[in-house]
Amino acid sequence: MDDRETVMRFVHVSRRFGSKRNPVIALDDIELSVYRGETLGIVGESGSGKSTLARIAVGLDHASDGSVHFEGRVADPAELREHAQMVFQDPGSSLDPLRTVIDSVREPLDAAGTLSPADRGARVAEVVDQVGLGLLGERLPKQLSGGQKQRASIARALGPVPPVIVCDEAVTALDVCVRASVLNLLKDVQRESGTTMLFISHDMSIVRYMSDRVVVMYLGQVMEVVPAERLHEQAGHPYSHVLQSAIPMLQQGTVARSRIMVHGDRPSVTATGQGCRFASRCPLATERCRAEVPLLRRVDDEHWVACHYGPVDYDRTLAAALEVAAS
Amino acid sequence: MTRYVLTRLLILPGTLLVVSFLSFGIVNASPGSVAASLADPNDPASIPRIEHELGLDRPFLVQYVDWLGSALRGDLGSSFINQRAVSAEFASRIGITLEIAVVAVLFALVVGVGLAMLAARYRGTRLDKTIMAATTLGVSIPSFMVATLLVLFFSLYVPSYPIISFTPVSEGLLENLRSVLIPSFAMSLPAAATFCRYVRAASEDILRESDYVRTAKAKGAGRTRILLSHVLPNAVVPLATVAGLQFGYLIGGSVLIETIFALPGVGSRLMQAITERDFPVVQAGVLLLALVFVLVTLLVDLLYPLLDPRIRVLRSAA
Amino acid sequence: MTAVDAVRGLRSRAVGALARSLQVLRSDRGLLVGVVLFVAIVLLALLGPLVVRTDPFQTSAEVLLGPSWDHLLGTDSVGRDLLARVIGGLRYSLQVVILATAGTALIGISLGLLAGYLGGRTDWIAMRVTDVLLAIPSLMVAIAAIASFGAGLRVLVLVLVVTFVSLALRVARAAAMQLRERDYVLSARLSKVGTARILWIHVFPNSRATLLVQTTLTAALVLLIETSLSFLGLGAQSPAPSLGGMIADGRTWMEVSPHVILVPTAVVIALISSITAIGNGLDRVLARQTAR
Repeated sequence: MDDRETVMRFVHVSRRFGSKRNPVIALDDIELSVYRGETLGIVGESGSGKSTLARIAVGLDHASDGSVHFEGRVADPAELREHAQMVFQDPGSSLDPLRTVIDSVREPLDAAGTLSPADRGARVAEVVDQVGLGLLGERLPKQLSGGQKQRASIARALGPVPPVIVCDEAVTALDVCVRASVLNLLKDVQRESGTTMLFISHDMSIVRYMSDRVVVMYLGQVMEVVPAERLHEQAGHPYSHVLQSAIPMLQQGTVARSRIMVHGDRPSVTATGQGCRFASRCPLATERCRAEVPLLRRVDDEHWVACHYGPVDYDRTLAAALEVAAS
Repeated sequence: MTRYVLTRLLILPGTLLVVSFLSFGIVNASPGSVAASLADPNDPASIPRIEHELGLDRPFLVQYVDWLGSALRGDLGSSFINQRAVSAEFASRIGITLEIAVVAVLFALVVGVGLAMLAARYRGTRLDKTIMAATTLGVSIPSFMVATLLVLFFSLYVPSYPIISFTPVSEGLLENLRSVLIPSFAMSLPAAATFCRYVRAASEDILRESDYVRTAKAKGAGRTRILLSHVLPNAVVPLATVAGLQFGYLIGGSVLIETIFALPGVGSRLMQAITERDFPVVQAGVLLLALVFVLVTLLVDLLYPLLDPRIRVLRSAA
Repeated sequence: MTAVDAVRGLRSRAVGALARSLQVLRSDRGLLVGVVLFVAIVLLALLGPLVVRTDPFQTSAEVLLGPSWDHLLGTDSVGRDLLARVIGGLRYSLQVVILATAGTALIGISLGLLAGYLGGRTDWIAMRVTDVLLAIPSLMVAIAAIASFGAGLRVLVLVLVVTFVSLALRVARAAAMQLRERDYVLSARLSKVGTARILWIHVFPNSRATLLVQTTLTAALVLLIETSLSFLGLGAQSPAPSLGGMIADGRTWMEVSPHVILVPTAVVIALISSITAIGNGLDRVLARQTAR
């Protein structure tokens, strides 16, 4: 891809689960670059493979095919674990219920052992303060609210100053009113430390808010990669329009959008190779779409779309959907 | 599904092999030998000769492999002590052991499930708590104690009842069942207590979480009907596995009951053989009991999907 | 933090734990009864010899007497004081149960947690080994082993451990399998915390409750087998007192003097059911806590 500094690259990464005869394909030949210091948002429905990608990025899972590069060199899961930290989705299970906040935050530092014990204690205090849990360090998870628990998780991830932080649905389980504060914390943290962040969610509005660039995924394939500020006006993939149109009107820009409704069966995750994964629901799908897998093509500066007819604009998508609905 | 069955069947002979090897090892590792008891006490020099005749002076592995070879051909050897063929002896005895265990399990199921339903029907009342306390007690009393107490009770208060007498089936099925009644009862109490606790706990889960139950109650169905028509079938199915396990434990514990009630089963013969160091009998006996246990658990595991309609549906959808 | 602060911290944590335990005890009647009964029995066994100065081996001419002021529980068929023998038998049984249960728990839990957490080949091996061990009719093999190697404490404890370790292993394995996908465990793995430390810091403490319940139930089963073996003469050897042995001895005389059998019977039932009640009570308490 382009010549900004790449901290992590996914090269033809695939991940299969299950038996050889009936595999579940979670990721299908993913090619993706992550630039240093950016927040890369990954958005998609459940089953899109985004969580699998997250786990592979931090080394908690391995790719069935392809490789992950870190700082230009091929890295195996063990190496990736050295350089990445993760903020998990469920505040209820991301912290050990028997250990205090300070204990949990300290754990990665103790395991790494690069700082002296005294320095570790200081760093823990520093980062607990940074996330706004200053006086709550000695508390147990059951004494904390959901938002506070997530802050503790963030503190734990921040402690060892990892080059890459992955947030997997970090605010999905929180009350809507709490989300804003945690999201802003993440933004501040990322800005202050210059860490590279992978931000994963199924919620398009959140991803748009948090990210520099956005990756749209569907059933294990990348549909579109686009800078966040251009996503609203210039998204090029029909699926991106579907996702964006589902955002409640209050949150969208000045132009109100009609919801694009899609029909058709979701293909089973075990289907392989035959054409675009979105074809069965795409209002613009043709025979070519069903037979031939569309490759990710560069349509503009930092903008790639995987569609035979891309870039497709919103109006065209909406028109096609209405036609399909009428028939 | 077929793969699962096949795997279990393949592991079976391996398990039995290891079991037979272990028991062979344990029995043969003892310092004394049966030759000492067979020999004429006035002629201690004859002991080595007897040992040689019985093949006891050969290396351990040779003895084991030799035994294994014969066993696979159906020949389990003869008792050192009374020279009779082991297989014949056990063939006549296994029926009794199995009969007692089966009657005990059936009795335990009836009593256990019945009491559990009663406790569930009157949830939270004193009756419920009393039944549960009784089950705690039931699980805590060794079966030999129940047996001994029963013998004591009968001898003191019903001396005319022949509690220690056994009538084989050949002399009348009814008489046979009657003579087996008390021993089976003695064995069944811990099992009944276990079943009762299990079904009661399962009922509790179902009553609390089942939408069906809530709907039925809202429509005015009586508690007893709900219990019998919905809770009972669902709570009982997983009981099959527990019942199979209990059956296995009962088989293993048969030695005590058979000894106390002087019943001619596998357990009592085995006990005798162990103390007499009668290797062929011990080997065959342990192996036989292990085989019964493994087969019963396998059977239960195979039957379970058939019993549980949910699993059947899942299988056909896959 | 000074040493004084450290000690104060420890003490307040201990007091907190004690207060919580008492609260738990008060919440469940069955648990309370079990604990009280068990503690009473243990005290009897521990302090008994200091209070009851009678020698359990001392035979006399006063055979088969009922309870009296001289002999609070009466005497057996050779004139030995039943109370002293009961205390002696209790001490033996408690010794066996503590050793066997500790051994079973130590080996079974550590191997089970390891197998459940690691999965794969380790788990497969553990499952096959326990399959075999569970298939062995344990009472039989116990009898065979004791008949072969003698009825010493070591043989008995070893046999009991081998018998029950499979069950403990499987329960621990199930607990570990449930916990290994928890996010905090994943986070620890991500941070490169070693397997042993993960098991010790995260998996074991979070499965403590289940394992505790399982261990108490193991203790009850151990006692059941021990009394059965003693009944068959394979436990403590005469003239040393054992509860099961006393029952076997009493069988001959039970029609004439039932108390010779009833006394040890009652003691055994009390001991085992107190442990079972504790196990069931803990189970209920645990269920209530997870439901919250």
